Amino acid sequence: MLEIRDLRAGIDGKEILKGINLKVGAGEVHAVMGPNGSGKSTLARVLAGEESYSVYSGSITYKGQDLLEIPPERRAREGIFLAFQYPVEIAGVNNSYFLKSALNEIRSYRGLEELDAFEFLELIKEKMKIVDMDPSFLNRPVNEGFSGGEKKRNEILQMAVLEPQLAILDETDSGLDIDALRVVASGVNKLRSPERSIILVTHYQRLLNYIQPDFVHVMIDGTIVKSGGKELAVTLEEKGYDWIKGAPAAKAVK
Amino acid sequence: MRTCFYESSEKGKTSGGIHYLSAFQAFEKEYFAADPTWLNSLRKEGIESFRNLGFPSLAHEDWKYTDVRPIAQSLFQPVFAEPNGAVSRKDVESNSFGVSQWPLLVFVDGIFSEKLSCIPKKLPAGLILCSLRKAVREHADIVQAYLGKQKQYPQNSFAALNAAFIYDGLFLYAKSGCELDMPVHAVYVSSPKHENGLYQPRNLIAAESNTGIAVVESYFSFPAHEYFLNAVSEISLAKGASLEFCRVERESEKGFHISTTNAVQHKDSRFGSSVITLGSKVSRNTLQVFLQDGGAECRLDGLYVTRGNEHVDHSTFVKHESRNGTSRQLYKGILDDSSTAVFSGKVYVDKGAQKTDAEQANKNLLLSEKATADTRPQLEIFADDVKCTHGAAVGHLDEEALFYMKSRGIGAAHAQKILTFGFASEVIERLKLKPVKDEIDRLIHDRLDASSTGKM
Repeated sequence: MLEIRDLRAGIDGKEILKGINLKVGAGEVHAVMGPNGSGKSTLARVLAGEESYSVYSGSITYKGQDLLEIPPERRAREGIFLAFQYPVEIAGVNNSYFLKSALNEIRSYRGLEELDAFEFLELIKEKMKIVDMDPSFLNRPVNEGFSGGEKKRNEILQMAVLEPQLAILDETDSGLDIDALRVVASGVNKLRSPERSIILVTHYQRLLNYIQPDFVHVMIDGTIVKSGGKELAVTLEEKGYDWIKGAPAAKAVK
Repeated sequence: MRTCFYESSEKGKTSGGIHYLSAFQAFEKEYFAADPTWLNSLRKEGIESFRNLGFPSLAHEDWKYTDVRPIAQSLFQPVFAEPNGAVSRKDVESNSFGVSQWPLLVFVDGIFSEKLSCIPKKLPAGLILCSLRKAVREHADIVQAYLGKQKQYPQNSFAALNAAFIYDGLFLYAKSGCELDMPVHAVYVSSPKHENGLYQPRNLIAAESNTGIAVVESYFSFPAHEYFLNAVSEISLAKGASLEFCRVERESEKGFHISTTNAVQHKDSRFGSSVITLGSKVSRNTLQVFLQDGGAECRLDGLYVTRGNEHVDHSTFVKHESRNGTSRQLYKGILDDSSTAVFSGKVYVDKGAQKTDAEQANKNLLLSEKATADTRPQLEIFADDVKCTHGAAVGHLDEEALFYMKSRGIGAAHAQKILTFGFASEVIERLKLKPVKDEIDRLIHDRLDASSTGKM
């Protein structure tokens, strides 16, 4: 599904990712953990194709294609989805219109018929149940005036509608109280499937109590220094990131 | 920046007005004999004032960002007769928001067209709706009581020029308690019949106490046609009167559009204004509102969308003269290509205007590196118990929002269009008249689709 090889990337000439190696298979859930500033979010945004980042060397292969050659909107149409750490508020653009535009662009790219307003409404009402969202959110501007929890739910709702093959959830747990975390995590769990890979980027282990990963990677200063199973997250929670610092960079994982 | 609103005219005067002095003599010779003395006096005062003022230059504080030399240096010809067959009913219909029931007054090159207009025979009792020309003959006492009585723009040379040639325009009078359940639509079309025509409609809207009316002024023209339209609208709202006022400008890319709208508000009156400017070579809209008595409210919205080398200038002045007044201003601009826009808005709160609640905001979205917006929000406050806020912004589309949309599969061009429309929709949503709102919604969509830069 996804293979990252010796990826070096950064912004404004400053290298943030210093040789990332990561392989994600279909249906797998990988957690990428690390302290603040380790480059987790940069990795997430580079995968989604944010153009302000430069890739200096290395490669990303997604479904056999060179991902770095593909602009962000086409990555999305090819099935990549990034749940933002800070979902963007878009004044004057209604949530429902936004999502319908996105879904129809993806559908037409895939040679599927676009949904009309009625069909879309049927679909979205079903999907909203996954994250327990009130239909009134559909007619509000995208993320405007949403609480932190509502924004994150909205991200998962978008994921449910767009049905990605690779979802990257960037700090989806940050800023959530325990109830909101449960709703969001249960939404993600409902979306797990053998065809859908998920990368969870997170600082804390607590999200992983709700979403059980298949693999855990620890990222420090732009490299993945340790990889393992879900028990690695528990060790991290007990011992903190300090015990791992200074460990040699992991080469190819898995 | 703090400036005195009424400043000396010596500085900032430019030449180019002599042509209109001789045009006035011809006008006087031909038309004064048939018109009442009080009207002729108004005209004489107008030309005298214009003679003193001349056209403003860039040194004039109020005209710092709008160069009117192209107007001053041309010899535009005043028009006093409707050109025959220049405009068809169909032309008017396609600019009527898809509505055929509204009372319709059509002015071709500033002159009322009986043939193209449609004023219902049955209007609510107490409502007078006709051309100013007709009103001068049939309702002279009312016209005399209101016309040119608002002396608040002594330094505005364009209003003075308009006064000198007062001839025709919209006349709407509502007697106390009178309500009209649909808007009056006044259409001002600039025909291709006159080369370098000067069209100066003079509109008079007077609402007595506890009345409710709505007026839509639409300005449009034929493409690539040169003219100078210099309109003045005077609005008087008595106690408890309410007016919803909307101006839609779709002028030729070669047309000059100057407008002065003055509203005087009495106790507890309500004035809602929406000004939508979608094109002209140079457009300058001066809107002045005087909240003369307590409890008056005004809402002033504006949306300007410019492209090519267009220039749009909005100058608003809200004067709170009495207690408990409320004013809300929201002007937004979308600028593409090498177009330029200016917003200068002043809120003036007089000593006695305690408990004033005033808000003013101007936001500009630049779609091109070559477009520029100048924004000058100003507050002058002489009362101590007031709530006044103002803000201004000039910026480009938010990169993070664009990335967010692209990361959802929305193509770059479509994402820009959605974001740009979203920016405009705050003003569109505030349009009170649904047919106007729907039409503006459609026009903005069309404009964004057709953006010449191909970016949108």
